[in-house]
Amino acid sequence: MHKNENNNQYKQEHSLRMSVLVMEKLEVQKRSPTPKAYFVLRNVLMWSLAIFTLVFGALSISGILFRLSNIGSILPDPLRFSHVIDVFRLFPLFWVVVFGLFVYVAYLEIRQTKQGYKYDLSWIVGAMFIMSTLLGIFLYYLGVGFILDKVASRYVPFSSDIEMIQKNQWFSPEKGFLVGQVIQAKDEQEVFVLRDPDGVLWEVLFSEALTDAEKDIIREGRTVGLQGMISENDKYMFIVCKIRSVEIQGRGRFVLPVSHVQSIIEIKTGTSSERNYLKLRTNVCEGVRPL
Amino acid sequence: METTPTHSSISAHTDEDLALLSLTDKQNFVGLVDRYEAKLRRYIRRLGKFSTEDEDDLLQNIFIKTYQNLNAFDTSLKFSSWVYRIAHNETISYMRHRTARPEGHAGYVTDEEFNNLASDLDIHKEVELKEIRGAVLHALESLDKKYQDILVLKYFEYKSYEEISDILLIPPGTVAVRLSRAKEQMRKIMNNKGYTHA
Repeated sequence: MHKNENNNQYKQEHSLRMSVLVMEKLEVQKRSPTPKAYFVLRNVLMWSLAIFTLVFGALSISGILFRLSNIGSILPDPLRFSHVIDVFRLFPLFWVVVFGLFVYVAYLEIRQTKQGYKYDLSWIVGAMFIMSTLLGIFLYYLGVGFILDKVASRYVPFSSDIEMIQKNQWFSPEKGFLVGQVIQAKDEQEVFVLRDPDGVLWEVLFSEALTDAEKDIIREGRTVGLQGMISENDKYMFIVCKIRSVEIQGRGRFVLPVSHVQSIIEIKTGTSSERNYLKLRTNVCEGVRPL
Repeated sequence: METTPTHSSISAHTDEDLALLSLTDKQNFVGLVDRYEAKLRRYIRRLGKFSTEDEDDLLQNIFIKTYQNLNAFDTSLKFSSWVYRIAHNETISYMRHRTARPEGHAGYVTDEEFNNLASDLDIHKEVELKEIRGAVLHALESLDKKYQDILVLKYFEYKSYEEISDILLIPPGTVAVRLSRAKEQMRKIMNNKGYTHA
């Protein structure tokens, strides 16, 4: 009982003295309010970091879009594209992970702002996703995704850029796959010149298996993927049975100009015996596209 | 010459006014300390069990921190929400240093506050509330910390969703979700203890 009374007395005295104690402590320790500029700057810094992070998120979106938009351009035959490692290389996993990280970091930064705690995680992630995607689409059309793909392939382990994957998938003439840029073509001639990724020039002859739509794909400057076979008569002559446009999408304004070498190459349209040989060998495309 | 604010001039001002006035005249802060000492002491007791000396130290730290951060006070908030936020964070930080989270709540809940919680949990009306007071408060202490904090602020401190959001720095939607889950968990615990609810 006596102890309780003492406690109550202590509490009352102490309660009365709290403001005095606080003021004394403020005086003795020479405490003063932190300047407003500090809090304003901190808030600005956090929002700036969030915006900066959003831009990085947008960059990763442009990288994702670049990969996804080119999947069709680099698969000559889905059946050949069955290795796990190839799927890993093609899927923009790196950019998806980077994007996820940046969204999370932006969320943490926004939470640190003055009113940031009022936003739900889903709201912030949704807003970040929409804004990053819109900005990312814009950057993709500028060709930033293409540049990032090149840069990432240098520094990210087990990664290859799209052009390298395309080359690996399409460039195998002895197996009937050829890829490259059309550097010379004339409408009336069933032959064109193609430069492969190693810079070698190929004379490509149309087979009878080709459709008109495929023939229309052949335009100077275009990148095309061909299926067919190397001519028995010339190791740099290719008989084409299937043509696909495999233009790399999303190069934007960074696209490399087409090198015209028309003046230094004279297209050999093939001797009449060669053309006859092709027509006679109607089964030349049997393995690729039966007539 | 600096004039010391009188008790009557301090009482004429709102908390928010006093917070702003304290920036130009430190003596105005006395009014805020006087207004919040009892409230915050009661609140920190509900968050954990401390000796009187510890409570005093903690309260002093809370008020000093409040004073030092006056320029961070967002005038769109209630001052009480802001000072409760500082009190909450300081208390949690203090308890972290002590590693264990001691029990609080039970000794510091008035009958009115207890009834407020019990009636919202739909605990059977035929049961004398006094009989189950210990069981309810024990159930509260067994909840996750995030649910305890919500219930304490809602039922014992009478804070609105918006204020709880400002104090705990979580979105208002999350406050509603946590409150609902906290009550659900409380009901389950009470059911397991044999107390039916309406």
